[in-house]
Amino acid sequence: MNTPDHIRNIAYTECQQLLDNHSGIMAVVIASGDGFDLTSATSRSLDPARIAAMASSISAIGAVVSQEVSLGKSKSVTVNTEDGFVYITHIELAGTHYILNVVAGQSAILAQVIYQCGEIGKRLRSI
Amino acid sequence: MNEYKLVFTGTTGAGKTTAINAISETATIVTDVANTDPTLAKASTTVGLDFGQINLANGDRVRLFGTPGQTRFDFMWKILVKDAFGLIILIDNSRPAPLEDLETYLNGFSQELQTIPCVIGVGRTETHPSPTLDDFSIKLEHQNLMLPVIPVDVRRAEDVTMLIDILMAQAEADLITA
Amino acid sequence: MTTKLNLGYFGLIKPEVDLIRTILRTSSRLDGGWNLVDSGECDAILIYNAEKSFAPFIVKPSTQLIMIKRRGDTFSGHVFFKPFRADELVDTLLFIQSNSEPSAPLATDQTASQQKTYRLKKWPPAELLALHKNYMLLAVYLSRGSKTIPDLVTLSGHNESFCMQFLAELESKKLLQSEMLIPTRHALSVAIESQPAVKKNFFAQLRSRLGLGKP
Repeated sequence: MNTPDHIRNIAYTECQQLLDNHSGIMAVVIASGDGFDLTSATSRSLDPARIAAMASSISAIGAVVSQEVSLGKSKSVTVNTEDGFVYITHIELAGTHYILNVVAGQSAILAQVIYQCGEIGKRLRSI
Repeated sequence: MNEYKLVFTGTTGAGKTTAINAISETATIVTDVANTDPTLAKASTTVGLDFGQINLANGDRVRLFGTPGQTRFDFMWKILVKDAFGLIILIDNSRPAPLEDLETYLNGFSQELQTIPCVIGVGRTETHPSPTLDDFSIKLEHQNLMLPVIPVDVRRAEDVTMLIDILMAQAEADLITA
Repeated sequence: MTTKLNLGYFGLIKPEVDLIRTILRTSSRLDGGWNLVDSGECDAILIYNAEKSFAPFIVKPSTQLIMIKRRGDTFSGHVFFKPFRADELVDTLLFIQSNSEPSAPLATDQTASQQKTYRLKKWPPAELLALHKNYMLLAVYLSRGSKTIPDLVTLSGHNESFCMQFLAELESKKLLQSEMLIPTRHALSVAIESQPAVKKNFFAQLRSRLGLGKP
């Protein structure tokens, strides 16, 4: 990816702050649409490259589903699990589409994560 | 009504989506996104799956699935090949190392290849005759596999149906053991 | 109309017997071609397990065993899965009806002991396969376990001399492994011998849909 370093650094900071400031978040990964990790912050031994690839697949499948049922563009996909959730949404960075992926445990609050991801998206779009 | 699954895998650009398009009765569902990998001379790439379908006269259905080609999506390979009745591996002979490409998919599907039928379709052999079909057979032999390798142009429906015909021949032969 | 065929049963409870009888009577595809008999000779018999005796039924060498199995169990002989689906039994009976020679004889077949089986040791070179457009399919069959010449004839639709011609080509290049057929191949276990009607029907349907035909 040809993202300038300073933009990548800003994106990394957003990931790290989200991870540090919210209980239960285990990984924040920003990935290209085709599944490469641009930057990430993780607190467990999670592989950001793997997460990036899976997030892009899930995001693409979500886009197909919303198109097939004529409900407009897919905005996000949430995978609810026994021990937490995975939230996948879209952001724009330096004019390019990326996928913002958050992996969280039970103590995290989905609504808060959704809100924070929206705020991150606004900040990164304005760069 | 019975449902059957057939999976197409192989390198990016080998023609998985094209092959499904050639025979699917329904409009193929694709999950293509913009490609950011500079090593790939493609504008878009599959990151989820391709999906097509063939309806049979007795009401049975054959679902056609195409996997993403890159190994970083190998979790999708496992998902998509589950309960498949056959696997078609498409190789692009114009790539730098087609034999290594084949090895990637033989390893990625090693468990399934112990039981389900599989055919190797090699594309672009007219313009890129090396490695030869016999080279592919030798490669398979080194992995203790004996699978048919045929040259194909997946833009032609008859070539894709030939791959499926050979898969069915393998499955029919598996029904008779000695 | 051709002679009616007899279907026996062993180990089934009365509601199952009644259901089978209803299927045979009401199926338009079977068109009355099968009788459910309570004893005597039968052309096929529904069973839960292979037994030494199925008295009061008389099982001929050509009688086809149809095993009743739970859906989800794997089985490669004639099978009727529970929960029962009428069309699956009809498919199996039609398949048995359409095959005049026994595919799973109970008695040991004398001629089988004199037959050889063949299998590929290595995949043939492309040059050899290019000699005839149907050599590829024969190679495919020989790559999936040992086969007799009758097996190759059945699978390919080609005559014996064509199959033997290909075997000779393979033999000349030392690509063929051959062994005498073990008589137990034709032993009681239908699991090894018979071809499931459902799968064969699927192949036929898909070939028809794709415009493929047997040579």
